[in-house]
Amino acid sequence: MTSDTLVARRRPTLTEHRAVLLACGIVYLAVALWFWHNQVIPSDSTSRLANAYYTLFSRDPHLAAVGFVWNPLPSLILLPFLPLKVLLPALTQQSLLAPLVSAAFMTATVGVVHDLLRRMTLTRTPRLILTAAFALNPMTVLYAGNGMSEACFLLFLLLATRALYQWLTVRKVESLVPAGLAIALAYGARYEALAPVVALPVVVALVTWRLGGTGSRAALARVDAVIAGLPGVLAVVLWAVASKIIVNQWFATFSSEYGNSAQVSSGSTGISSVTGDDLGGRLAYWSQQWLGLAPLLLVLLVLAAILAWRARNPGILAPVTILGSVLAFDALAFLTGMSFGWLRFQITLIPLGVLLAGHVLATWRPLGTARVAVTLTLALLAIPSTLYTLTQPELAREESEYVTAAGSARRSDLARVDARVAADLDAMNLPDGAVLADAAVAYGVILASDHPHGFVTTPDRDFPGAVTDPRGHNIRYLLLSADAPTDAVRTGRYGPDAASVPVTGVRTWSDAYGNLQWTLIAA
Amino acid sequence: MPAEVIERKLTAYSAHVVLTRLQRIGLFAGLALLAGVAVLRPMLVLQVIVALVTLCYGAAIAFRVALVYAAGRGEHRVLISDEDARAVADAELPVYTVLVPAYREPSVIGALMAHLSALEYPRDKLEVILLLEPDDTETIEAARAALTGEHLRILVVPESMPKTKPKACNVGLAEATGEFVTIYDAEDIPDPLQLRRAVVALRRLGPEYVCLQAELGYFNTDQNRITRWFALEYATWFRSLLPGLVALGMPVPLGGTSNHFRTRELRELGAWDPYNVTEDADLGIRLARSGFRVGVLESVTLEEANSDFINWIKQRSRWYKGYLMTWLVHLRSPRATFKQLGWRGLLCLNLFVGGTPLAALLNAVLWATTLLWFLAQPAVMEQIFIPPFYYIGVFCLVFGNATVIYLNVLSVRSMDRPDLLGTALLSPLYWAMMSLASAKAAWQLVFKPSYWEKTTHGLHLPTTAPAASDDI
Repeated sequence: MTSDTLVARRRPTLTEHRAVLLACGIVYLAVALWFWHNQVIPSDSTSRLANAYYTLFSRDPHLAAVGFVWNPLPSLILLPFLPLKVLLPALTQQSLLAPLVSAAFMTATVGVVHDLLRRMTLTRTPRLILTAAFALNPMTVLYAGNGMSEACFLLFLLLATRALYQWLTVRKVESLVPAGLAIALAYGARYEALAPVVALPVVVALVTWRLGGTGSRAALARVDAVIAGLPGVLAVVLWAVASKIIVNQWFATFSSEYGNSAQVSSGSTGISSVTGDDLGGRLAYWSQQWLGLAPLLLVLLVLAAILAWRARNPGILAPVTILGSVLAFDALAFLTGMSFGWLRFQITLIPLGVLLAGHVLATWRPLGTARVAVTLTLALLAIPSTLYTLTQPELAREESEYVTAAGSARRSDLARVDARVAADLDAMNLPDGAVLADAAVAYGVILASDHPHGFVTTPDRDFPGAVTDPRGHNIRYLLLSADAPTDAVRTGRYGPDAASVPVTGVRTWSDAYGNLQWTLIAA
Repeated sequence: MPAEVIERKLTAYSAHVVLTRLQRIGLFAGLALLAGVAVLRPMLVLQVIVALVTLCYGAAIAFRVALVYAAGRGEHRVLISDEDARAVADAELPVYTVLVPAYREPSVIGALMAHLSALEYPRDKLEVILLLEPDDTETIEAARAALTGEHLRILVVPESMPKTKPKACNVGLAEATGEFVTIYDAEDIPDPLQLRRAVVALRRLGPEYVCLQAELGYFNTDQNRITRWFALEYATWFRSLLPGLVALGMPVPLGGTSNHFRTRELRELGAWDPYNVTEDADLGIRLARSGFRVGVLESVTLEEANSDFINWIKQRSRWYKGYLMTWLVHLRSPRATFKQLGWRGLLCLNLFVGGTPLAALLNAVLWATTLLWFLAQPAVMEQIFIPPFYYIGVFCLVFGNATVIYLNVLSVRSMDRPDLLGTALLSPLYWAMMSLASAKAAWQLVFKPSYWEKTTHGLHLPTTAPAASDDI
């Protein structure tokens, strides 16, 4: 083959790739702007943006202000863009930056899925249909535009999947490097990546041991496992050590009063009222979510596994190892009562289904039109089924907050209240460090404020002292949330009982339904 | 062309004087200025030093990663298959001169003869010149007894200063009749087809290429932990770092043996600097300055890895001293250097030639600083390490170390020596040895610049008495 024909063959897929990226970029940008315009950006997105914001613009700017409860990458990645707030204040004050960045991440994720399907040697039509099955799935579209860390997480998981696929099919050891690095970065985004941090080196070792050539296969397997696993292990260890040094907790996600475990236990009555208290109830709930997002995944999995076995094609191990291990981790966490069971914890089902379908098409021989049609249908059925699931407030407890009218009204109202509090405090022309507030609950207020230096917040190094002795730290006011169980400022003054919060003060703010949200009291 | 005539051509870049008068004045003026400011604003000086060190260190790590990455994208070594190497008819082969400098190694002469006779090259086209020192009667006698064949001859280097390996090589080069010339150490085991491969490769590459560096490996890798570390280091050096330099179009500091030259150009260039203790690295830079290119030939010469701690430190400190010398020599006229090497060459000169020993030296200081912080947390350190540089520093400390260990694990895989995994993971201990050697090198550079540390050879042979020699 001459280089001319190589170029000629490359060009269509390259333009196709660019077209896919462009189309997704535009759609996701529109979705991001919709979330921003309607002010229904989820509080987790705002809070991660705020974590980045504190490191540069709080009263006590330092990198550790990014916090250790949530893995830092989704916040750190925002840092270079934060100074742009000078040009466009909405980036931070209305959290616009978060959805813009998640849209970019999800666009890149679609690019990786498309490229992986190309590497699976799919022809153009099924390749584009399957890319669309991922890109246009309502879960993908929602999480492209809402600024959550899922898009970032998915990107790194799929980069790892692609690299592992490359390694499994071409067996060049260099491919293990990007796989390992991507998993390390995925752990930077979400702690569920602990599962592939373990699964990746284990699978790599087993494959090398099973398929390795001559010589010491066990020793080769060990080296390959280290190449694939070291970056991830290092990411876990480093983050733990940094947490231990700075906030004296190895895994703040699990042990902090703001962390996941604390939230699960403080909200456990709420969770179990929906999901059921026993294992059976949880299992039923979890299966409903699973079937809702990927109704025929098991069929695809069995089919793909049989075909892979027949074709002796180990590529299927890539999506199953990376995406499957994340699913397994979340399932285990939920079934043992250690997680919320949010629908988004199952978002990896979407790319997994698409890639399994891709693998079926890559290995099913002879591949007639009927077989192509059946496979694509199996994959595409996830779209209507997901759409239905998202409108079920019981199954999609978070998502229904912005896809249903009532939910989005509630959400945007809270954003408005935060902005109102910020504007009122700004109007008081207080000196720096006059208002004490817990960043874990007041992030929306601090972000919306024109005068972020006015707040003494959790990441500030003098915060603990200010909570015990506000006046000694020149605090004039305490901003108290009405009922957030983790508000250290309020519990520091009034104890854990939400009922003891004063309903009058220097000022109070309520939402549109008349519920008290914030109270400002004199120090 | 006599050796003196050859050497005269490089006077401007000889390490006979390590620092020129101008450099000396500049250095002292800089130090004086620094001291002056330090009296007035000590904190500022410390902050600036920390900032500069951090940036340079970060750049050196980034450079290393860039080299490995560049080397990994495609093949940047010159591959000549056995068939192609053998395909050239004897009549078409040029005369090839092999220089073998040796000093006080009578015990390896026998092995040397065996390894040289294994070379697949017509004897009437081969010229082997054994370069011996007049006071080394033991080796001279052993060589005279063992020497067989007309293509082999002994050249006793006339007594003159400095008495170094490059000096001997220059004397040998002056008498060489070959179109091509290479150097082997007495204990080297070269790939038998190496000369043929070099001929085919240099002819293919054209006149722009004046030198090919063959890969060096070790025959005693498994002797102990030090030799295993050493082997791993060499594999990274010759399979990743040097090909990376080639890929990025940068100067290639040569290794001490198995570099194959076009004789005429080498003479024109002034050959080896007898005052530089790493004359090979220096020659690589000078080749680049003259606009010539250097390739990396995929053909292995096995050497003896230094297995003894003290001996290793001696050898390594000489290398580091030589690298520092070379760095200083080529920074004499920065403008000319920049004009001849361009920014890529300048990057290589600073981050690779100067950077390798300096990073080894800094490592010790930085680890000590880290340890101090964890043990005592002195408040003054918070003032010295101002935020952006503090973060870069932490990044270098954590990711820099991790990256280099990781790259070593990759080398283990590409060497197909999975049993060296533990050796790769234990690399930090080897770095500690490097730090020690670099401290010694820095001290020697100031007080004994031209002193040539002898390396003892034959330590892999349990029965023979060890011999001291000039090795690479």
